[in-house]
Amino acid sequence: MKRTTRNRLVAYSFLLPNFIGFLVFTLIPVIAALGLSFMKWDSYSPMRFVGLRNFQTMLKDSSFKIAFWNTLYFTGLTVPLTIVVALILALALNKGLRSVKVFRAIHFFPHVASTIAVAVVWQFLYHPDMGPINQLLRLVGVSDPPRWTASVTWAMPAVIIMSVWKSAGYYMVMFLAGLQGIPGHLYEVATIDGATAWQKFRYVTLPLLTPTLFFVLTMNLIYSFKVFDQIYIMTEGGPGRATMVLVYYIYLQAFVNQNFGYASAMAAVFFLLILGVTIFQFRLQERWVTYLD
Amino acid sequence: MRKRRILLLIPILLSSAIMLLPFAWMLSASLKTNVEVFKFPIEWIPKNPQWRNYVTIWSKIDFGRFYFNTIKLTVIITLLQLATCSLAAYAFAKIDFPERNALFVAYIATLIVPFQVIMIPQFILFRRLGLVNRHLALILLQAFSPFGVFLMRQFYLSVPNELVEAARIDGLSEFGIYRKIMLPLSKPALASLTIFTFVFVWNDFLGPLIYLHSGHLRTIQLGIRMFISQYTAEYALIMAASVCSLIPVVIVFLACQRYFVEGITLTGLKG
Amino acid sequence: MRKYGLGLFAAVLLIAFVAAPVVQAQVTLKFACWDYELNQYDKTLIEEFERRNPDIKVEVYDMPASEYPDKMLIMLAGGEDVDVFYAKDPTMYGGLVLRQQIRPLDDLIARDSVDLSGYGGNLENVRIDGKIYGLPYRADFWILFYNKDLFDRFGVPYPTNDMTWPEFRETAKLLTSGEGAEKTYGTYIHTWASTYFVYGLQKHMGDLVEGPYEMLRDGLELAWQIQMVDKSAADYATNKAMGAHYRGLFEQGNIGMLYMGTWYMQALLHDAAQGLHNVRWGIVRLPQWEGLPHATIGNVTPVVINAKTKHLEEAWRLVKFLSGPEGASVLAENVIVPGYVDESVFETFAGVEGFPTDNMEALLTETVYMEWPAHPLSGLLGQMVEEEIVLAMTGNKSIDDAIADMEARREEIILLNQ
Repeated sequence: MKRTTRNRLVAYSFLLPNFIGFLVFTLIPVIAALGLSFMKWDSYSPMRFVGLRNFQTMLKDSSFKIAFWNTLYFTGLTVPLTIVVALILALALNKGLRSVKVFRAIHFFPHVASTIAVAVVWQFLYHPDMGPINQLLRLVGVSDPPRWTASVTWAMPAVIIMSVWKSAGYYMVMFLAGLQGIPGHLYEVATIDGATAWQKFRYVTLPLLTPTLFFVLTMNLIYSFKVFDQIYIMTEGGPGRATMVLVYYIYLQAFVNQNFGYASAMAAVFFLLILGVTIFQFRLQERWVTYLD
Repeated sequence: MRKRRILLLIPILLSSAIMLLPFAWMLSASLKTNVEVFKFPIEWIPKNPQWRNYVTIWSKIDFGRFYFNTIKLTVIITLLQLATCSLAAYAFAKIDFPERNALFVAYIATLIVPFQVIMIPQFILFRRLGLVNRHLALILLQAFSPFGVFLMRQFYLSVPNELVEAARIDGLSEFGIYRKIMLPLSKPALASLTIFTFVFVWNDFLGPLIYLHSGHLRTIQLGIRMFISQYTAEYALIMAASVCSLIPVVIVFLACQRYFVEGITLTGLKG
Repeated sequence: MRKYGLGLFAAVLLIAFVAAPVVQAQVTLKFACWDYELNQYDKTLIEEFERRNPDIKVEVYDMPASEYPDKMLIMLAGGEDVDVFYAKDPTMYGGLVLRQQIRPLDDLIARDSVDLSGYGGNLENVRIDGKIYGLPYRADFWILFYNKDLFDRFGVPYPTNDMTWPEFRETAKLLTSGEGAEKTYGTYIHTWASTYFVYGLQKHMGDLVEGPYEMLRDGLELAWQIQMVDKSAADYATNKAMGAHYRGLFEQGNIGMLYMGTWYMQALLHDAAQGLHNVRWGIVRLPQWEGLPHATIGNVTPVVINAKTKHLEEAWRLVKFLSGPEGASVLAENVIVPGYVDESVFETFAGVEGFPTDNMEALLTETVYMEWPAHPLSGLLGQMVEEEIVLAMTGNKSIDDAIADMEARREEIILLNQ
C-alpha cells in the first residue's frame, strides 16, 4: 500500500468519530447559514434569492458600520490585554506558592460566575458617583472621573476592562496546561548554564509555550470578534450605539427584525474577515511557533 | 526567598479579592429578601440572613431533577468530547495526509460563525432528524466540538515528533502510539479540556433553551430562569440556586488540578 | 380459585382492550406560554380546561418570558406542532400574521356566534387588515401607583384621576426629602424605553412607527426636569447602574409615586401577603396632558392558533376558554386585567384582600394606545427609539438632537428594509 493511502486510512479512522458528528451537526448548518446570505428569509416563508443585495444594504447601513468599527475596537484592545494578564497569572500561579490550587480556582471564578452577579457587581464598581473605581480616582486627584457605562466615550473601555477581568482566568488555564508540557530537564540545563530567571523565561518558557500562545491568540481573536454576552449584560449595546458590536447587531436583525438573510450576510462578511486573519496566522506561525522535533 | 514569596503573594491576594467580588455578592444576595437585594450601597453582610432561601429553591422548582439532568448531560458530553476530540486531534497533529490542512481549516472556520445565524438552520435539521426535545439533541450538538480538537492538536504538536517516530520504528501501531504515548503525555490538556467543556455545558443556557421544551428535561440554567418572570425577578432565589449550582464546577476544577502539577519528564520516556 | 383468577385476568384484558380506544380518542394539544410554573393562574386555567374537557389533554411548553418570542420563532421555523400559544405583544403578533403562521379566527367566531362585546376596545388591537387572528387574553395598561403613607407624612393630598403631568412634577417635588437611608423620592422612572415614551403617545399624534417623534419632546423634557433639575427621582444612569428595580424600590416605601402597568397590582398584593412590605398603596389613572382627552398606554396579549394545527376544533375550544369569561374570571381572581372585561372583573378585584377599593375608576379606560403597533418594523424602530432616548437621558445628546436623529434613523431603517 502507498504511504499516502495508508496514512489517509489511518488518519480518517482517527477522525471518524468526531468528523461524522461535526459534519452533520455543525458543518452543514454552518454552510446553510452562510448560504442564507444571498436570500431574503423571515425564518418561515419561502426563501427568495436576492443575489448580492444584502451585501449592498450593508454599505448603506449606519448601524452596521458602527458595529463593525466597535468590534474592531473591542478586539484590538481586549486580545492583547487578556493575553498579557492571563500569561502573568499563569506564570505567577504555576508553582512556588502554597495553596496555588485555590488561587487558580479563584481566578477562574469570573468565568463561571452567574452573569447576573457579574453584571450587578460591575455596574456597582462603575457607578459614576458612588462606585469604588471613581472614588479611588477622585482620591488620587482625578476631579472629573469618567461616567463609564453612562458615557458614550467610556462605555466601551468599561466593557473591555470587564471582559479582560472575566476571561483572563480562562486563558490562564490554557497557559497552565501549556506550561506543564515544557520538559523539566530544559530548565535544569539552563540552570547549570547559569541562566537568570528572565533568560529562562525568554529562551525556554516563551518559545516552548508558543503552540499554546498560538491557540490562545486564535481562540481569543475569534471569541472577541464574536463578543455578545458581556455587551448584553453590561450595556445592551448602549448608550446609544456606543457598544453596539457585530454579533449584537446580527442578533437584532435576525430575531428582532426577522431578516435572516441580512443577518447571515453580515455574519458572512465577518466570517471571511476572521478566516483571513486566522489563515494568515497559520501561515505566520511557521515563523514564530516552536515545535520540538 | 521568603521576601520574594510575600512580594508575590500581595498582588495575588489583591487580584483574588477582585476576582471574588461577584461570588461575594452572590453569597450575600442569596441570603437576603428580594427587596433588600438592590439596596444601595451594597450591604455585604445581610443583617437578617434568609437561610430559608436555600430551602425554598428546592421546593419552588424541581431543582433536584434539573440538577440531575445537568449532571447527566455534562458528564456524557464531556466524556464524548474527550474521546472524539483527542482521537481527531491525533490525526491532525501527527499523521501526514493530503487533506489535513483543508479539513483543519474547516474545523476552525465553523468556530467563527456566530451561533445567532446558525441556530435556525441547525434547529430545522435537528427537527427533521426527530432529535428535538430530547437530551440527545444537546449531546449531539456539543459532543464534537472543533474547539476541543484544536486544543488537543496544539498540545500534541508540542510533543516531539522524534518520540512518535521512534515508537513507529519500534513497531507500535498508530493507535498504540495514541494510547500509550500521547494520552499519558497530554493529561494537562485533557484536564483543561475537561474543565472547559464541563463549565460550558454546565452553564449553557441557549442550547437547552432552544432544544428542550418539556419541563422535566430542563437543566439548572433553564431552571434558574424560572425565577425571572415577565415583570419581576426573585433575585435572592436566583443567587441561592446559582451558589448551589457552582459546587460541582468547583469540585471538577480542583480535581483536574491534580494533572497540572507535574511537567512532562521526557528524559524518563526516552531512556 | 385458579380458574377464577384466570377469568378475572381475561376480563381485565378485555376491558383494557375495549377501553383502549377511549384513551386514544383523547387529543393532546400543545400549548406554549411563559411563566406557567411561576404564575399560578395559567396553571389553574389549563387544569380547569382539562377538567371540563376530558377528551383533551394539554401539554404545556413553559418558557422564560424574555426569551419567549425568540424561542417561538425558532420552534415555528422548525415546524414544531404547537397548537395554541400567546403572542407576547403586538410586535410579535404582527410578525406572526405577516408570516401567516397563525390562523384567522373570523370564520370560527361567526360559526359559533361568539359574543365579542366583552373585549371592548381591545378587539381593535388584534384586528389586522380586517381580520382577527387572536382573541385578547390579557390587556394591561399604565396607571399611577402611590404610597399613601408618604403622602400623609408630607401632608400632601392624594393624586386624583385628572392629575396632569405638570401637577405630577410639582407633587413629586413635595415628596422629595432627606439623605441616605431616610431619603424619599417623589417618583421613580423605570429604565424601560416605554417609561419615557408613554407621555408622548398620550399626545394623540399617532404611533411610534408612523407618527412624528416630536410627540416625545414634552415627555422627555418632563423626565429630564424631574431627574436632573428637581432631583425628585434618581436619574436614568443611576438607576441603570444600580440595576434598580421598581418593585423593590416602591416596596421599600420611599418612593411617592410610580407610573407602571396594571401588572404591578398583583405583585404588590403578592409581596404584601408574603410579608415583604407593608406599603399602603393606592391607584389613580395615568396623569395626562392638559387640554387633551385622557389616554393610557397598554399591551394586549392575544391567544392564537398555529396555522398548521391538526386539532383545530380542540385548539379553538382552548382559545375560547382562555380568552373568554372563564379565563377572565380566573385572571381577575389573581388581580390581572383580562382582555375580556365586564363588571364582575372589578368586583372580583375589589374583593381581593388588600386591594385599594377607594378609587376603582382608576381602572376605567377610554383610549388605550399600544406601546408598539403590529407593524413589521416595530422591532427595529423600537431598538432605535430606545437607543436615542437613552442618549438623551444620560446627557450624551440634547433632546432636540435625539428627536432629529430619530427622524433621520427612521428614514434609514425604512429605506434599508424596503
